[in-house]
This record gives sequence, C-alpha cells and structure tokens, in this order.
Amino acid sequence: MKRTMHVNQDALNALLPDIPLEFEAQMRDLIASMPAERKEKPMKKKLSAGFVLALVLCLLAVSALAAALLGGREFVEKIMAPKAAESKSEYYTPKEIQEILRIARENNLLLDPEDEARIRNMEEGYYKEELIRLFASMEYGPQPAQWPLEVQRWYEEMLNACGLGDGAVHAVLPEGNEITQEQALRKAADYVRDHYDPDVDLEDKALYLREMTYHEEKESPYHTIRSWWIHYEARDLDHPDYEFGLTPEGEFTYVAVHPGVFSPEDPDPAQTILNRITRQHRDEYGFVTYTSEIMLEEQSLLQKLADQQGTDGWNEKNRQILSTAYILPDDSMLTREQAIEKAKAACGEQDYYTYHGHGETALTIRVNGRDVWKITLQLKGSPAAGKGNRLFVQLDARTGEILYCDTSLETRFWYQEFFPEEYYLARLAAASPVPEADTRPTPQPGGLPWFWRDSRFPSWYWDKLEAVGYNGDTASRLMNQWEKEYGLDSLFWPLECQAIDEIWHSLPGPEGAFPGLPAADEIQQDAALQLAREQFKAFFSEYVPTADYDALICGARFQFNSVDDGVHSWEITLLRPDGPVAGSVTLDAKTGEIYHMRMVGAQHEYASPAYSILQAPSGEPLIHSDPRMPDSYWDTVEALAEKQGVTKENIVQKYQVWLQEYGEGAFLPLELQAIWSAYAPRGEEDTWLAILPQEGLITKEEALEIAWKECLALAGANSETDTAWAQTLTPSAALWLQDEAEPTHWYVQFWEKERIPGFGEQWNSRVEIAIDAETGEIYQSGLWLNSNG
Amino acid sequence: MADRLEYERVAQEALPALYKIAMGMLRSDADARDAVQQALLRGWEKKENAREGAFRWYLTRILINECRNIQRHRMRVFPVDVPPKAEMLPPDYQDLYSAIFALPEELRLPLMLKYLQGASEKEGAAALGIPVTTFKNRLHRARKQLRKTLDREVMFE
Repeated sequence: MKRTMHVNQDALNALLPDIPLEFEAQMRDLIASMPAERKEKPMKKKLSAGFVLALVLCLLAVSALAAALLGGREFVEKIMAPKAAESKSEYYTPKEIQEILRIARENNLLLDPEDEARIRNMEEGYYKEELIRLFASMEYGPQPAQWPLEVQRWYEEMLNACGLGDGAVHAVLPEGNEITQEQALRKAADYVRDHYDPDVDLEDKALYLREMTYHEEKESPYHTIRSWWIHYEARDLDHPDYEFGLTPEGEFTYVAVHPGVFSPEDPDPAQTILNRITRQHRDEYGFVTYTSEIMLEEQSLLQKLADQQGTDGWNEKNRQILSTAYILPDDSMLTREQAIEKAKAACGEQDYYTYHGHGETALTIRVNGRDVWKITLQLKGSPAAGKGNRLFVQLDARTGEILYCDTSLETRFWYQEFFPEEYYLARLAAASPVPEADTRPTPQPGGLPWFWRDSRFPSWYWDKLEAVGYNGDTASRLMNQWEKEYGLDSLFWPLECQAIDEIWHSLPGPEGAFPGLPAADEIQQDAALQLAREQFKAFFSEYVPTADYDALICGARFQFNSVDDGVHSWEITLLRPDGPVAGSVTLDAKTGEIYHMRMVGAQHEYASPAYSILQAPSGEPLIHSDPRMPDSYWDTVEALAEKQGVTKENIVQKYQVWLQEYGEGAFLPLELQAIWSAYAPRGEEDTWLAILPQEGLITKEEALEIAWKECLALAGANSETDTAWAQTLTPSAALWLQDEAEPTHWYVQFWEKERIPGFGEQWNSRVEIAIDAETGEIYQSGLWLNSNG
Repeated sequence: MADRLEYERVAQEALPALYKIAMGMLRSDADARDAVQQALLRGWEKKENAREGAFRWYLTRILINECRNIQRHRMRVFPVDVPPKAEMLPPDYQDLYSAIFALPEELRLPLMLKYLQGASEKEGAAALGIPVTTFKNRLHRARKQLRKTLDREVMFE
C-alpha cells in the first residue's frame, strides 16, 4: 500500500528552489531603495588629504578671526566641516561635540535645549551629518529637500568633501535643455489643477509644505540618470498630498495622490489616519518615537471614523488600536526612563543601540486591569537563528516586576525591527516571564561579522578583503566611496568591494554560496570577461548583429559554492550601453567550462533542450492534429509556415527575426502568431494555442472596438481622459483557442507606447481584456495592476 | 492602499515566496528573476491601488500578471529550465513534483497560493483576479487531479 502523501507548505517549499541568495540580496536592496530614492539620504564619503589640510588651515584662520559672529551656514562651513574632516568616523566624538557646542554658543547659535542635552549625553558621540544638519537648518529649515536647489547642492558638496556625502547621488542644477525648477513646479501644479482640484494653491505655505530635489544618480561608470522629485505635503490632516517624478525633459515618471483624513475618495481611510498621525510626530529623519499620547490620538480619530462608517474592511492592526487600553503615565508609575533602565537590567548584559529612532521605545497600556510598560530594545549584532534583533519587555508600570522578556520569532525578518508598534498591538498579554538566553553568534571586534576569517575560505582571501580597509566599522564609508568611484551598481565594483558589500549587507553565515575571489591559478577577471563575451556572441550569433554584441558592457562577479559546493565560478553579466541587462554567462573559474548562458528575450538558453510542438522527443506529434481544430486548419497553418520558410528546426530563429520587426510577440500579425504558436518548442502540458480567425467568431476589428470601449470605461475609473489614452496606448490582439480554463477568446491588450527597442525589452500593457470570440462578451478585463481587476 | 512602510514590510516578507511562485509558473530562474523584479517595481508604482490589508495578495497578483506577461505576451509557451532540485528530491517528492507540474497552470496556481503561501480562498482569488467560487472550483479540481495522478491518499494541509 502506498504511503499517504501530504501536500503542505513544507512539501511545496521543497519542490521549488529557494530564491538565490545574491538575487534575494539585490531585491531586498531594491525594495529598501525605492522609498529612499525619494527622500534625502544622510551622510558619508571619502576625503582627500589635500582637502583635509585646506580645511584645517581654514579652521586655524577662523579661530584667529574669532570676533565676528557666524551664521548657520558659515558655522557649518568653517567649524563643523573641518572638524568632520579630521576623522573618517561618522560620529563626532563627545569631546568634539563639547567644543562645537561651545563655539556655537559663542556665536549665539543655540540648539533646542532638549536636543542639546541629548546630544551632549550621547556616549558614543553623535552622527556628524545630523549635527551639521541641525545647524544648517537654523538658516534654511529642517529638511534639505525644502531648501533652495543651490543650497542643496552646496550642502551635498560640503558633505562629500567631509567624507559624509551620499556616494553616487548628487544634488544638481538643471542645465542646457533641461527644464527649470519653475517649469517643473508649473507642470506639477497644472497637473493637479487639471486632474484633481482646479482651485488648489499648492504654494500656499500655510496649507502645503513643498519638498523638491533635482538629483543625478550614477548607476554605473556607463550610465547616469537625472530626475526631479516634487512633494506637496499637506500641513493639516484633511488635504491630500501630491507627489511627482519628472524627467529632465519634464515628462512625468509618476504621479501619486495621497488623500487626506476622512476623504470620501479614500479607499483606506483608517490607514490614512495612521499615516497622517505618524507623520505629524516623526522626527527629521522620519522616525517616530511612539508614545501613549500618539496612540490615543490615533485611537480617537479611528473611533470617529468607526462611528461614521463602521469598521468593515479594517485590518487587524487598526481594530487592535481601537480596542487597546492606552493610558497616560501618571506620577505613581515608573517614568519612561526608569522603565527602560529596568528592562535593560532585567534582560542581561547585552549590547543595545541607544540612538534615538533606532533604540528603545516604550508605551503604557492597561492589560487585564494591570498597568504595564511595554518596551522594545534594539540589540546590536546578528540575530541567532529564529530570533530577532528586537527585545520585547513588559513590566508592571508601578512595581517594575518583569512580566515578559524575549526576542520574538515575529521579528526574524529585519524589516520588522522598524515596526515596534506591531508589538504593542500584537502581543497585548504577557506570554512568558522567562528571559531566554541569547545564543546569537558574537560579532568580532569593530563590528566584523562572526564568520570573518572563517576557515572554509583561504587566508589569502580574507587578507585581500582586509586590504581594502574594511574592519567592520568602516563599511558605510567604504560603500559610499565605492558608489562614488564605480557607481550604484556593484556589478562594476572590484571583486573585493563586491564581496564586502555582500557580506556586510546580507550574509548570515559562511554556508552555501559566498562572494569570492579567484585564486592565482584560476582564470582572472579580464580573461573571464573575454571568454564570456566570445561564448555569448558565438552562441547567440544568429539573433543579434555583431555591432550590437560589440557594444555590450560586461561586469563580473565571482562566487564560491554557487554552482555546487567547492566550485568557483565567474558570473558575467552583459549590459546594453543604456543600462538594461542583455544576458549572462556563468563559467567555471578553473576550466572555463560554461555552466549557463542566457540572452534576455532570446527565448533560448544554452544547454536547455527544447523540442518542437510538432514532434516531441519521442517522435509523437503534439499539437499538430489537435482535435480542437480540423485537419484543414493544420494544412492551412503548414502552408503559411512553408510560405514563411518556417521549419521546426528554424522556428526560434525566425521568431527572433519577427520580434526584431514587430517588437513583441503580441504585435505579430495573426498568421505569424498562429505559426509560432503551432511550431514553437513547448511543454506537453501547454495546451493554449493562438489560432487564425474562424468563421462564426467575431473579427479582430470587432474585438478591438469592443475592447476599446471597455478600455475607456476602465480609464474613466482612473480619471484619465479618452484623448490621453488614445495618445499613449496602442492595441494588440490575439485569438486563443478554447482550453480547459477559458473559451475561445480574443485577448486584447493596450500597451504603453514608450519602450526601449532591442534585446527583448518588455513593453508594458496597461489594459488587458478577454472577449468570448463567439458571443462578443467581455468575461475578463483589467486595468493593469488595478486591484479591482 | 499601501504606504511606503507597508510596501517595504510586505515586499520584504513576501520576497522568497514570490520567487517560488514565479519559478512555479516559469520554471526558469532567469525569467523568475525578471518577473520578481518587475513585480516589485510595479508594486511600488501602484501601491496606492491596493486594498486595505491586502497588499501581499495584490503584489502576488502583480507577480502572476508579470509571469503571464512573460509567457503569453511573448508567446513564450515552453519552460526553458527545470528547477534543479527535482532530481535531488526524495522519491515521494519526485512523484509530487511531477504531479504538480503536470497540472495546468490554472489549477497549479490556486494550489500553490493555498498551500505554499497560505492564502485564504478570498486572498487567493484576489491574487489571481478571479471570483472566489472559481478559485474554490479550481482548487477542488487540482486536488482531485493530484489524487488521481499520485494514485494514493493525499492529505492537503
């Protein structure tokens, strides 16, 4: 008797490969970078010895002058920047801080007393960039994105010169044919007036806070992008926010509208309340120190919303906020500081972050009649398996009795570290009074990962990594230096830099694939690039003209154990001059053997056997003679194929030629679609088939007309005009034969007209409509990525 | 509607599963990477359109659309790679692997969403852009076909 089979998450997980480590790291960076690219990023950069000397001399000169009072900008330029340039650390030392604050007082530059006390008390010193910004903001306002573009440029150049700037992203001023700041603002304002609010005055400073940047990003040594970012942030809770991205030529790359609280158009008013309240309490870096006062404010607005509209459709988090008994601390309770100290003492001698926004948070809540402090502490170092970096502590608000102290499985993902409020919501009751021992690997001195100099990799490898100046604490500065020198894409960084980047950002341990370096007796980088380029060109020579191959740019990575344990491999990526990936080659670092090769959009890969739909490896015909269509149909298709010179041997090459001509498979004439569909290599399970128009079915023209009406109806729901859609979209149509899931149908798509030709770049379809080819009924339609489908 | 934080939280959490779903559909590492990356970019662009609390399934749907883009819009109708794990699996799992990939995609996806990603029927339907009843129906057919192919008792957990 056969054993019972269990189909569950574990089983299915085992069937599919895990996301490759290096790709996962890339994607996590991508996710993290998307919000960041619209906000200014703080700090870092390398400095030259000459510049340090100049700054030191400048400082001496200024000390001699002494008499005249300095403004915020002058103070930054003449006092803070030279001090920052004296060391490579991201922090001013406590001693430097005392001196800076003394000179600031002498110049009548006074910080907020609370800020000053906090900064003076930081045992580890204080971020240079943050302190510099505090003084610069005295002259220009709190956020660099609100400063004039010229000042933004000054500020970033000053940070760069001190070694604190953001490597590959620079504030710039428009040049040549690029639109001016005024033109960019006018475009944004016109857009809002035309599409959302004809009476809005976005420049009303009482109503809107404007943020605007013009940045240049160095993607790689070969590719640079400039872009405008404009954000109108409503100062109250009621008005919508507007956000725009524009190209240097003034084309919108995106437009986002964020509705105000209680807006009738808001599909998610509860979330908007949380967003807006959070925003009101964030600091200049976007961090919120949650307090019971904030939570009570949120709760009050949510209650009002619930009274008006009910709570249908709310998520669990909002419901919990509504039902949680937040209380304000009173005199009979431990103070916040006392509670945090008790929490730290109770949970052992561990290394915590103390920096505000990254460090502890605390709320008072009544749970089952007992008033408790709920506290989170941020631990330093890598978490142990199944553990997080955030320590959760609950204690009696009056007696200080520890009720719970542990990290949580819920925080095993790093991103959850940044959402301490989840803890207050999700873990209202104390679960365990027993602190667990911390079994995390111990980081090495200076912040080096615990596996540094692991014996699985040769000592010369570690020596080379250390030779670039990495000692744990220097990572951030080095990353910015490399971004500046080599661009944002680490593919073009030296291999040592790539390895450190990967180790620092993402690697939990030395197991599995690991960023490597070639040994002396292995193929070196130049030779590997040459070999990859030759092999790529030889294998795909039928598809692309030689000149295009010769224009490709190559970048290399080196991996230990990626292909298999013990194998050292080169992973070469080939890019078009304008940036997109054209293909990749993976080869053995010892023998040069090609493991894998692919060309984007080539529909073909090295060492991947493909067989024709007309004849499986067994010799049996597959689709030809498919009973869903009569024999006469297959005769017609064969005749058309013959006319095109198509055979099962050359169909892939033919298809590439057609793609060059038409740009995308969906744009092929129906005859070519039918030929490709019938002749293309495919798996036996693929039963769907594009066919020629048939009697009794609606025509392509009729299908397009039906689809266009539907398209406009969908567009209306998105406030875009008929004319705009007609100008920006182009249709395609394919007739698909009935299969198990769908009737014979016309599949009409409306594509964005903008695209980059060559090397199989994807076009983007905005609207997709499926029409029953017999009845003309639309049975599926979707505006791309609209959740209503 | 998802905000910046919601996007980041959900995308980071869902990333490994998104890749598996893409591999389940495309069976090519290269294509799966393209689909995941494109889905993350589009998810960011369109995050405001997601329903409250449903961004994960919204993002999954974007991914599925992107996989279909790759398959259908380019008329790419054949798998170019096979996941390397297949031959390394225990015999039982090899059978399961064969049976699951013998399912047409319309049946395979509901199964993966339900038992790999832990989607409820409502969430799975949202991810696929189909009515809940259709989702249930396809799930039922998928289970039935798996039992038939594997010719044994199959527990779905």
